Amino acid sequence: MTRSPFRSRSVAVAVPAACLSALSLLTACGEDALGPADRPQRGAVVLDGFVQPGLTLVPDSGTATTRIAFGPPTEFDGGDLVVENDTALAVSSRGAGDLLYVASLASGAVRRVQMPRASNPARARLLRGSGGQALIGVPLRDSGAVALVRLDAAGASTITRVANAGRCPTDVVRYGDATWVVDANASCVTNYAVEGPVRLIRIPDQGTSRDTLVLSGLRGSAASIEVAGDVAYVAAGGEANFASFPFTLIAPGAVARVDLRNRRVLSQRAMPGGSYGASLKRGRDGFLYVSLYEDLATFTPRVLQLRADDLSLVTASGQGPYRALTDEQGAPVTCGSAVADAVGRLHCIRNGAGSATSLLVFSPLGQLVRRVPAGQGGVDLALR
Amino acid sequence: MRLLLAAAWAALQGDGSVRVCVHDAATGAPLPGARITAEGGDQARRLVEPCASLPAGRWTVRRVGYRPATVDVAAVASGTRADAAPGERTVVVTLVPLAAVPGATMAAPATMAAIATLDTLQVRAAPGAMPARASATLRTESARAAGLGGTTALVAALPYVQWRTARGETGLSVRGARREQVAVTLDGLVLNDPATGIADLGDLPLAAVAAATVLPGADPLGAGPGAGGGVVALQSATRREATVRAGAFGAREAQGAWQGTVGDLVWRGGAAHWAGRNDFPFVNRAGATGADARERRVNNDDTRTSLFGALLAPRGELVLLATRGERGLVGPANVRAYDADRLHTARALLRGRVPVGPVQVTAGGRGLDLAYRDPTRPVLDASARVLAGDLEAAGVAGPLRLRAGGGGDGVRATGGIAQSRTRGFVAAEWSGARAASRGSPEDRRDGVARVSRAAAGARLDAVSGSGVQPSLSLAAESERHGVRASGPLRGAWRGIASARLAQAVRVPTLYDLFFASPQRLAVRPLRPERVLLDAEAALGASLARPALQLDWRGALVARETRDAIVWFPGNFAWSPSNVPRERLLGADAHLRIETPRGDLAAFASRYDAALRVDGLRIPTPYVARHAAGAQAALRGGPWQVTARAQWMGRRPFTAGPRDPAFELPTVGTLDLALARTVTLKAAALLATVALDNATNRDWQSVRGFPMPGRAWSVAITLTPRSQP
Repeated sequence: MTRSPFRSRSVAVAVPAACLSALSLLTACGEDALGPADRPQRGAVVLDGFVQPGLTLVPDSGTATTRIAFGPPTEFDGGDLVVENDTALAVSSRGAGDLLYVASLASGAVRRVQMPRASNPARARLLRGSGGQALIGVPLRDSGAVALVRLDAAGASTITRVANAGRCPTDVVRYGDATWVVDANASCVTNYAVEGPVRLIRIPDQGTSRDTLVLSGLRGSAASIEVAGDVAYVAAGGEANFASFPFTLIAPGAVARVDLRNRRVLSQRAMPGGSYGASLKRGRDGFLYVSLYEDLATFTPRVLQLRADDLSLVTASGQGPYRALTDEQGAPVTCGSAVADAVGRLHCIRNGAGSATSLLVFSPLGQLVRRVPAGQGGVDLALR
Repeated sequence: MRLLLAAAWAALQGDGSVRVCVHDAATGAPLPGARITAEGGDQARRLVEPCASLPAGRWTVRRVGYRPATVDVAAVASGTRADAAPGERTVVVTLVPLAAVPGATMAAPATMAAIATLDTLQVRAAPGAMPARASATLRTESARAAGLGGTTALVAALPYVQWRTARGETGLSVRGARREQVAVTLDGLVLNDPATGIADLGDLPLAAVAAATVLPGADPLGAGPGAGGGVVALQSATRREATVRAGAFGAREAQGAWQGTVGDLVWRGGAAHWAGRNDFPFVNRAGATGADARERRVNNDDTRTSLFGALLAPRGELVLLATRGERGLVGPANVRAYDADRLHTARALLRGRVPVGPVQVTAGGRGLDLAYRDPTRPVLDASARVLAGDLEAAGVAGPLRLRAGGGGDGVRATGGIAQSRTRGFVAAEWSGARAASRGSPEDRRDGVARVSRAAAGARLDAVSGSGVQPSLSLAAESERHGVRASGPLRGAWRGIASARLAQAVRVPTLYDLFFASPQRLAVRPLRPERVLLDAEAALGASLARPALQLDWRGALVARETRDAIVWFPGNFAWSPSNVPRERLLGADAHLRIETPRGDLAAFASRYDAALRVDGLRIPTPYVARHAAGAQAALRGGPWQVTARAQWMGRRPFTAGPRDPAFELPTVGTLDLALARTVTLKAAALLATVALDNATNRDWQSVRGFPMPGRAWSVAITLTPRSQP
């Protein structure tokens, strides 16, 4: 087994070049029945989280889509998709086999990597080691650790564990000379009960110390992070009791803006009262988009648009906090997993009867300009 | 209604007593406890066992839950059965259940000449409860001789049935239906869980079951809501027996039943215990390493204990069944999160039936306790209790069979789940037969007779929260029969052309999720699922002669369902939903050949079942487009060798569009059994050695849940020769 550079904790900041390395490894695994020419080079990638897990690739125009199958639904239950260039990452939890899925969007090849049993992966991020090699960071919720996975051309994987990464680590990024872990601070090993506020834990490449930044306004077993320069945006989905009917909300989700260099919280914004969830994406138009459920009764998906510099809401007059979206006839439309492209067109997904998924695209003014079938059981969306 | 045979059999001479055996018309199972009264006199006898010798005379046969029949013993002269005393003749009187599932009525012999050739004489108590209905019955004795070891295996061996099993639970698909569309009844009482919509056959020991009958197609009249795809009708056992069985992977089983009399009361009681480790090896071909790995199932054990009993009095009948079980909830092969989870179940069923004037009144109650235990995460422990009660009255008014009833269901479960509902129904059914008064000259010359039968019925179901749902059923068949004296097709023959139309409804179950699971989902309001049309056109033929019985039936089938209730897994916002359309088109056929030296049964089907929703065409999960099976039994003296082959084509394992990546591969399995009957002084002993999956085929009935490879079992069944 090759010794991982992460054993020495010498990791550099992730760069796009790492994705190319990962891609070269993936293509060594072979291709599926569709040739690369059949797959769109640009467009949207929908993560089909259930029924027939995999990816549905939707080009920028037309209705033809292509599929990349992950595997049976018993072995995939992921809800988060990370796409960097032509590499897509997703994970399954302990209830679906503790697996890391790495897919090449160019070739359609899929690699499954077995994470430690009962480790309960939360999501996967592309990172890069100091030697330039592609690495994948996988927070392991039930292990309180982060797995650093290196794939080699022969199809083998090397996993290095970074221990003491919090009570329930749910996301990981690289900044400076450290790995930063979002700790949901919840009993993920049992019932995901929230034990305290979300924490941001800095794990330096050298030594065994941990620096912890408590994000006091953020609670929830689903927490994530996006980094832009020196600023991190941490989102937590809130706290609710799903163990009995009717479901009860304890605290709505929230987003914090954190200065990583100085390790301090710059600002916070709570999600609207009654809402649950906070799935954060950085749009290519510079805004932040938070997808959540309006309430715990109807679970109506909603989208918030925030300004990145102060987390203030972008709202139309008299429209309430949520992004106003309408169809061609002006009727309200709701959707989730929203993100905007560079010109401000909002892309999101919506599941209809039979969990048939549609990709919806709205003009910057919020009017529906495109609706295209996008597989089934969509749970997340990324743009290429 | 009575069927008088005297005139028809007058030409046949008889003397002395006749052995009369009473059987259920729906399943062919023997019925103890019938009351036989001499017509016009005061003689009356209660038949503790299904058969008894009666002196000449006209006798009326009555039994709780069945329509009476009359037989004229003096007119019967032929048809000696092998097990009858020398010189004794046997008449089988089949009684049509009053309130149970219609159809499957055993056919009467075609002609008087045919009567003389058969080893038993079958008397149908009604012209036909519901013609044009396909059915197949497998008796427990036959199943034991074929090496089958449980009620699930008994039902799975029936034609029209596809099955799948995971985590100790078996789901049945009949004629391409989803498992929730199959109603399972025990003596007419629906066993489907009001909370989950399916029935767990694993709790029913074979000693408590006399026979299983599959009735493909919607059955709104007999089983009511939930029978949109078909019915599996189980019949309570009626004989003494004791069985011990052992098999691979720690399988151990003991069960027995006894019956006797106390005055005018017939009692029956029994118990069963089953345990198995089920820790079989398998090849994991879907691991993350990409390489095949030989592994062994863990936490797949299963233990069940059952008690059952019945009391049959002149004025009523009471049946009790109670079971207790525990099993490991092993997960899919590559998911180890459930390696320690356990499920404890306790079920009880009580059913009583009494005649009130001309009306049969049936009352039933069921209770189910579930306890889910997660030793590694006790905070996720959960429990649930489900109760269901039913009251029903059935009677005859002129040409109509009428039924009305009502009941209620309720579920209470961890997490504040508390749901309940009430329901009621009325149903009317008519059936009639007409023999052609005049045939063509050729027919008269060849002794060909024609009979037409028809049936119609309607049912109204009212379920709180689901409104009033009407369902209709129409059926007709035309039969020609005769006797050919020479040629390769000599013997009594019969040809039937039939057509059947039916509707059905399935109301949403109380909680369309395995509610012992710690996962709590928001359940959407659902509309009732409605089978708009279940249609069948069939042809059948049979040939009977002393050493041969041949039956064949083939059908074209179609089913259109609106608002199919289908579970689409997901997160908070998703739960079962109504799919606008589900359509099935298909064909099936089965053939049965019986000879003194052996039997052959074969079945083949092609079903194209698909859900249509929002532009998606979704093949109905786990319905194989092509399937076939065959069973052959060879007998020689006390020996019987049985081979059973089953084949299933590719079948989708998700509720998604057709994609080979999400289909299970074709599979064929072969089961073998060797049985020997030993006649002892006071009992008959049946010893069987069976080899399931004899070719050690690696396969899965549910994706991710491997099935055992080659597995042996041995069983000994002791049946007293003389019943009380």
